[in-house]
Amino acid sequence: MRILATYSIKGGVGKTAAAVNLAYLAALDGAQTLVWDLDPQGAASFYFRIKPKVKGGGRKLIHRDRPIDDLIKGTDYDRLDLLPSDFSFRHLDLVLDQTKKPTRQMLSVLKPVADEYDYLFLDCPPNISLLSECVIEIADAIVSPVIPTTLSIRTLDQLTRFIEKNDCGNLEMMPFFSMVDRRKNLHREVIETLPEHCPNLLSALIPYASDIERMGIERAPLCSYSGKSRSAKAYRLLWDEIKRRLNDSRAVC
Amino acid sequence: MGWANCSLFEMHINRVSSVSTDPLNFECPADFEIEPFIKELKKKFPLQEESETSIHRTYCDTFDWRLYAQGGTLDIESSDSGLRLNWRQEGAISDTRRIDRPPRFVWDFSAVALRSRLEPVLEMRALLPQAEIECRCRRFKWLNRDRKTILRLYIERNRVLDPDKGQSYELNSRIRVLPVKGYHKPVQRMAKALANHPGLTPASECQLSAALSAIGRRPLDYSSKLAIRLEPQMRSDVAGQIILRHLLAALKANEAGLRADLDSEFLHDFRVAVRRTRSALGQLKGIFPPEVVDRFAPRFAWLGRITGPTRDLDVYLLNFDDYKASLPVSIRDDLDPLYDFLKARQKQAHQEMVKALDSPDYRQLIDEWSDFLLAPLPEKPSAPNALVPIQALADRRIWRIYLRILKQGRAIGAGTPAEALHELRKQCKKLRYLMEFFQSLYPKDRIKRLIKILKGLQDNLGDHQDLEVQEQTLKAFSREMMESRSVPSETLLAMGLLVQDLDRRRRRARGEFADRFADFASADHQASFRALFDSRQHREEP
Ligand SMILES: Nc1ncnc2c1ncn2[C@@H]1O[C@H](COP(=O)(O)OP(=O)(O)OP(=O)(O)O)[C@@H](O)[C@H]1O
Ligand SMILES: [Mg+2]
Repeated sequence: MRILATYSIKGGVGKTAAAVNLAYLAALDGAQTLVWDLDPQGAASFYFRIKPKVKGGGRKLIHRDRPIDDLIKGTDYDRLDLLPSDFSFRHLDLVLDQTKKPTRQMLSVLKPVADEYDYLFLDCPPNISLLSECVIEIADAIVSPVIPTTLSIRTLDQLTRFIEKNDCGNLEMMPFFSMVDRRKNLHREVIETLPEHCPNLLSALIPYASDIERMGIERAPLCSYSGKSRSAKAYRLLWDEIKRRLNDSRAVC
Repeated sequence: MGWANCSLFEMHINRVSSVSTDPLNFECPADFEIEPFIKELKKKFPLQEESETSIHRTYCDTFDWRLYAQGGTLDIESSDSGLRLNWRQEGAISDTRRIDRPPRFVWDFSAVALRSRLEPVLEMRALLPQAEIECRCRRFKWLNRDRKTILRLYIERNRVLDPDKGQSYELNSRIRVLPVKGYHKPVQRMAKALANHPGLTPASECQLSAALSAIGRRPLDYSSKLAIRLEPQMRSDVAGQIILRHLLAALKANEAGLRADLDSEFLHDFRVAVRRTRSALGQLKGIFPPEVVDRFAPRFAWLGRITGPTRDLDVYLLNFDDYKASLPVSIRDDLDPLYDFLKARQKQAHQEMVKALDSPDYRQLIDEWSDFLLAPLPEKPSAPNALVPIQALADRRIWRIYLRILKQGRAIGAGTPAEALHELRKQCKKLRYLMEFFQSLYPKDRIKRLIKILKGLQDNLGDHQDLEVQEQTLKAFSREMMESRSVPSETLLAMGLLVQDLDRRRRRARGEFADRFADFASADHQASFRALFDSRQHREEP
């Protein structure tokens, strides 16, 4: 099972939109795919029309009092399952902090389903926290949306430094431009200059588009109801590039 | 076979139990009225109908039913949404995925987990369509208040195709409940409603048996193992006919597959049937008139000869991966031109073989042979052993060959030339065939155990001879390749190393012979053979 986390220190940058659509595409390709909605706000669960409710809450889940497999729900799409969010996830940091080795604990929670899924997408809440440290340690890749503004680039730097400090082995950092508005000069400028400073930046970029926004009304992955649109194609390119990166990095290690 | 014990079921029980999407199936009676049923169901449940689809479902297995024998079935569904492969274990889906094209061999599977699961089972055998079903499927989904699908219901009309007759037959319609993971209550409610519906009967998820029986077949209708039932008091000529008829059936069953070269094992099984037939003709002398043996034995020898070259090349091709693996990594790929060479040769040999099988000689042999095997036996036969009870004859033959093997084996020392081992191997084969022909005359576990003991020795002798033949043939090939200047010198170098390795392994097998034989001929094992086959001993009741 390869673990991909959609994560950024900044909020509202398109993490959940990316997780939902990339997971949908992975499953469409034939991979058994699981999304874990780690955000207590439950946006990913909402998009899949699944109640943000986990029996026993975050504590029972992390302490393995409830087998993870019993909490997973099938989405409306083949091969795509969701571990829903729960309001109690806002205390996940605390729960993790009380375990001896939070990272190991997270891994052992996932172990029973590790053979079952080819991909696990972790949709993370923003901010740096103990949870995000765990996520960074267990993930194979951090897929990080970056809005092409100066401020976003500063947060990307912060994240990169944070990851380097944590020494996460084979972790692949995969930033990509999100909510790109070509009409904005600043966006165009940043897109032209950033790649030089940031070699691992993905070349696929997701435009700012109203059909992506509509996901909240459709409550479905964009690619499922508007598969041929420009935005859907952008997610397709993004996913293909991520897969290629993952395969390359596997070849190295 | 070794893998029979290692249950596939155990290997991925994990997956089966965790996928709680085991569909629930019901069969409709022939006169079932679908429309009123749907109407009624819609009153009880918030069902929404999706577009109808048609699915072409092909159940695949090897010719000798290796998957089914393990409690598994593999089907490939072709529909608008592409190809899907379903691997079911004990009736429940344990793996399902989209594929680009149907796998023919286990190495065509792209999913690593499934491939490694099936590898020891399928080995070199091809997956062939065993049953084909045309399915029209009406699909319904049960939506909750968030308009999320929490259960699926399919109503399927199925037709089985009979490719031999070019016809198709309607099966009873089926209703399938497909749970969505994590939504248990709707499943229980729907299952209950269906179970209580008059006329509907629970059905197995797997349609294979139903489909096969509609075209007059059943699963496991071919096995390469002999299962011949004889009675101890049977006349020997009657028993002989039964045995030979079994062998003829095996031969015929494999003919089409070997002609089409579907996989290497059709030819293998065909040749085994030929060898067994020859062995039976030779061993059962005296139960049929000598003219019969004279008339047929040379022709079966011919059949062995014309099929030999293709089989030899098949073996090299099957061994090729092992050949490569025996070389240092850096030069493994240098061997690849040998593969092309072997492949070309195999193709040519196969063509020649098919030509020989197309000859009147072959057709006449099979026709005459089957006439002979079906002809009523004379009441007062001329052959001296024809009327002897088969049990007595079996004891005598087996015991005599067994003693011969002991004698020949004891005469082999460290310096004895290879021919003596080859001769011993032949005798062991004869003994093995006799034990297999007459298995049903002896207590099952005891004869099985003795066959296993014999097999231990046979494996050693087989390795020894096969390695020698491979060594010599590869040398001959490399000479040919060198003269024709068709391959790079690296390939010849790699082949040289390969020959060295084969030689080393052959010598190791030769070195192990003494121990293997000593084990075979141990006092303990001798006593077991004596107790079962020496007719001077008083046999306990089987
Ligand atoms: N490419 C886009 N174009 C237009 N709107 C977008 C795009 N991506 C996301 N949105 C919208 O922006 C909002 C935030 O997106 P999203 O929830 O994916 O971000 P997030 O990073 O997961 O946010 P949070 O930090 O709150 O979890 C949502 O309303 C979403 O519909
Ligand atoms: Mg989010």
